[in-house]
Amino acid sequence: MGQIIVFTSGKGGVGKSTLVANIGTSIALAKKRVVVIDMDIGLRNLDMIIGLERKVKANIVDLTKNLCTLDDALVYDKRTQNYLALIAASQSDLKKDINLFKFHKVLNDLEEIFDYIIIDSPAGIEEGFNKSVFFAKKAIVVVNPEISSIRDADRVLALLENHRIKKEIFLLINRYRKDLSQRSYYISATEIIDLLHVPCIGIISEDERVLRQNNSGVPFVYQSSFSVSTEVKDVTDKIVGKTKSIKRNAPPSKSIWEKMKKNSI
Amino acid sequence: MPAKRTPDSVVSFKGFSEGILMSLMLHDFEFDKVIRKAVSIYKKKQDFFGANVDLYATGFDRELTDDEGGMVRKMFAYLIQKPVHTYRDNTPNSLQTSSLTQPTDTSFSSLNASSDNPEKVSSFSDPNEFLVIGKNVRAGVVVQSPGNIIVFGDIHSGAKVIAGKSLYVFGSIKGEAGFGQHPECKQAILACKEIKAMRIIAANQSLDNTITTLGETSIPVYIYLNEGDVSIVKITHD
Ligand SMILES: Nc1ncnc2c1ncn2[C@@H]1O[C@H](COP(=O)(O)OP(=O)(O)OP(=O)(O)O)[C@@H](O)[C@H]1O
Ligand SMILES: [Mg+2]
Repeated sequence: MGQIIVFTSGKGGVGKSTLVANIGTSIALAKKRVVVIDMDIGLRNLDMIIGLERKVKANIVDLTKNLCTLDDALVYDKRTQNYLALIAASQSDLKKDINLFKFHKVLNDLEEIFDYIIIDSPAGIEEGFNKSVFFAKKAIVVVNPEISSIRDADRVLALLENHRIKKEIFLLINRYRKDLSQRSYYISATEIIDLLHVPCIGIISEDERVLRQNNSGVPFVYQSSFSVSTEVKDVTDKIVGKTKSIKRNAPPSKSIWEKMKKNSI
Repeated sequence: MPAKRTPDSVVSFKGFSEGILMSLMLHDFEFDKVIRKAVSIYKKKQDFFGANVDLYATGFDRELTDDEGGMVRKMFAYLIQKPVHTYRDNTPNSLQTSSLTQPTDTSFSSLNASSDNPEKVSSFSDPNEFLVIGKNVRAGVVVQSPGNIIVFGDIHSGAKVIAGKSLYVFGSIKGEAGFGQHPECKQAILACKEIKAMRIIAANQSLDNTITTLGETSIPVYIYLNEGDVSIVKITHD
């Protein structure tokens, strides 16, 4: 039975697709079968970041409308010996063109084939977001060290925590500048985790070479000398269960306030 | 000012029949410490109390208001995860047994009905009731109750919690908070661990200026509302 994981953020452009492409590739290189699904209907780009756009023949909307078979929609990545597969978003349809029940059926089929099903959610908290997160059992909220991104992540966390389908929720901090973390204006990773009260699964640095890799269609994890690659591999290890995620390092509870807070999480 | 009192001197255990006795003086020190003491007594003597425990809470220098008494019992019940009986005969029915509200309060988990609109919780029509929220209130979430609200967590920036009567926040207020908003409410308290927000509303007065002069505080603050008069008390430890 595959595990359904959604990458979401509220705010756009924080690096969801970049991280889905790289973590997906990294899981595949660890010899686990993984499929990444681009749910950004109308604004497809995950296929480009992975470098598979020329092989896309059908998409997730076609699949949920029974216009193609699962085999037609799955694009396998040879570089990972086909451990990684992609289902692209549609360019021409709208988010409402995906029927939730049909989408559920597609996920059920994928669960039989893959160990991990990773969904790249669109920005926002509307229809596309709702459908992307709906069936996921694990949600990874990508956040940048910026006040607007943190506020949006908080908003998304409220929705995820109270969702009908219970989810294990993690933060993933992206575009982090360790060299700035001591500056008074900068929001450090500890502060982000403290503000959002969610365990953090990893911290990925800001690196301008990410853009170059995205543009060339070769996920950066193939460049093993990049520190961002090591950071992504650490996240991968946590996803595939090799290591544990960072718990909020709360100070020893001195007062009842803290205790109650703990009780209540 | 009367002599300095400690939690040890105000909470006592009097055997099974009487339960735990505590007298509170709200200005004296943080009463969370008093409740912590009561909880520790309870834990030690758990066998004596069995399924139910009595909590006798009185004010040291004055009678506790229904809100204060109810809040103390509710906190205690929450911490020991058991119903707590009260001693008052004239307590309204709704407060006789402050029933447990688990962190997964159903009224709160039904929040997610629609994600397009800010979530709203308005669960009680009885202003004597307590709405307990067992977690942080996150951005975009709006909680409203005509009665009292207890939040075991922070009110995040971008969140809003509005109580008809009193509001007790066992965490910090970074978002918007209102209390004493019920038209029939004459007296109410806002108690919190710290205020880091600029928007606090007592009945229909915005306390923005007062809070600005108070500055960002990282110590507990009580704001009392009495027939339209507002007084702010910072709780210090000395
Ligand atoms: N760690 C990083 N360092 C530097 N640049 C990054 C990093 N992660 C992502 N980026 C850049 O940020 C931009 C947005 O990334 P991406 O498209 O993955 O975000 P997204 O969250 O999927 O956006 P959308 O919400 O539009 O789907 C891209 O230009 C990408 O190259
Ligand atoms: Mg994207």
